[in-house]
Amino acid sequence: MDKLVSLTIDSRKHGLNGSSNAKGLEYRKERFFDADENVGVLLLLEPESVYTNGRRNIGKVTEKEKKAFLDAGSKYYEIKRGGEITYHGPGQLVAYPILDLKKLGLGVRDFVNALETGVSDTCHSFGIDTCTYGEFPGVWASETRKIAATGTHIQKYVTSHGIALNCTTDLQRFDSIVPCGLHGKTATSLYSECLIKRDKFNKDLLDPINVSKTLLPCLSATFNAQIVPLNSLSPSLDSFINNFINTLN
Amino acid sequence: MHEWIQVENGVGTVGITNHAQEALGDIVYVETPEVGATVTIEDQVGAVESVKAASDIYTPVSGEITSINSILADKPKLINQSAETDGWLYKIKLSDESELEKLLNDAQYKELIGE
Repeated sequence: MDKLVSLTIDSRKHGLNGSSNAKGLEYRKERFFDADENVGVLLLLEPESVYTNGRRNIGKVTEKEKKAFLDAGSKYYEIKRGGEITYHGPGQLVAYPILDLKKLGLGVRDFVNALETGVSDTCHSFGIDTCTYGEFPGVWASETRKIAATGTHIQKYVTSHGIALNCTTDLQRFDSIVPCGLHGKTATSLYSECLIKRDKFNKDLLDPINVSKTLLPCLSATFNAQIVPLNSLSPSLDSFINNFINTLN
Repeated sequence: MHEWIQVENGVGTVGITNHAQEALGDIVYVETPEVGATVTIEDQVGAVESVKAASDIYTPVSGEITSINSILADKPKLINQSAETDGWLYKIKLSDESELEKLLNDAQYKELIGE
């Protein structure tokens, strides 16, 4: 079984988001593959408020639109992942795998499937039914309500970016965009879906860092990889990353 | 990403292999290099997007980009249909043909992918 290390980052403390600051870690990814059995690192984080756009829309957003994001208290980034515009923010759980697909023996489509299946299984654990549609990647709670969006970048077999599961995300933040360029579809969250089933639900149970504890074994199963905490496998790398994160602020 | 190249009179036609397109799934967007650009072996020269994953493409040889397959802008799925013929990505005037010696030939590649 392959070994994958995980690092759960309480990014609320660090102002880390899944698109810009994690990039700094990405540049140091060669450091992640020091250990022989290690196929990569899985970062789990709750992002700060940010709109990100994918590769094919780079340079296509007007200054007026960018200003609207800033005025709403969000940053805006154009990045080289696949997919189109989306929102990341508090209440969302981002799984950001930096994996060597060659070592894992996985093709790109299989990799994205494994991410989606891990997130679907997590939703099922919270009593939420999901479906996936080949034509519209991501995890859906219904034909029109997307609960998790994926967008990844593969450079020489090494992955970056990942999948974002809305746990308790403020869904109004998606109203100002056409998420992923899909008209007639909306975003949903674990909390919002739980409220459809029951009138009341303890929101604290769906805190992203709490949900990450369910996501980890689900991804371990879909990637057929043992996921161990980074500090148990490589204390030096763990301290390197933590130092790196601490220097961001 | 696995790329292929076919060279005629010093100009190579480059694409991704059929095996690569199968692993990618339905291709929805293709980024090609600029005509006239000078590139060095293994430079990132473009990308293909499938299942919301953008996979970078690296040039197997150095040289100058002489043309790109403009049909791909409207019909990216052409790569899925015929990766190793009509779905070519760009043509390149080779600056050092000896780089070709480092590449796998058809039989070696088939062995690599287990065919």
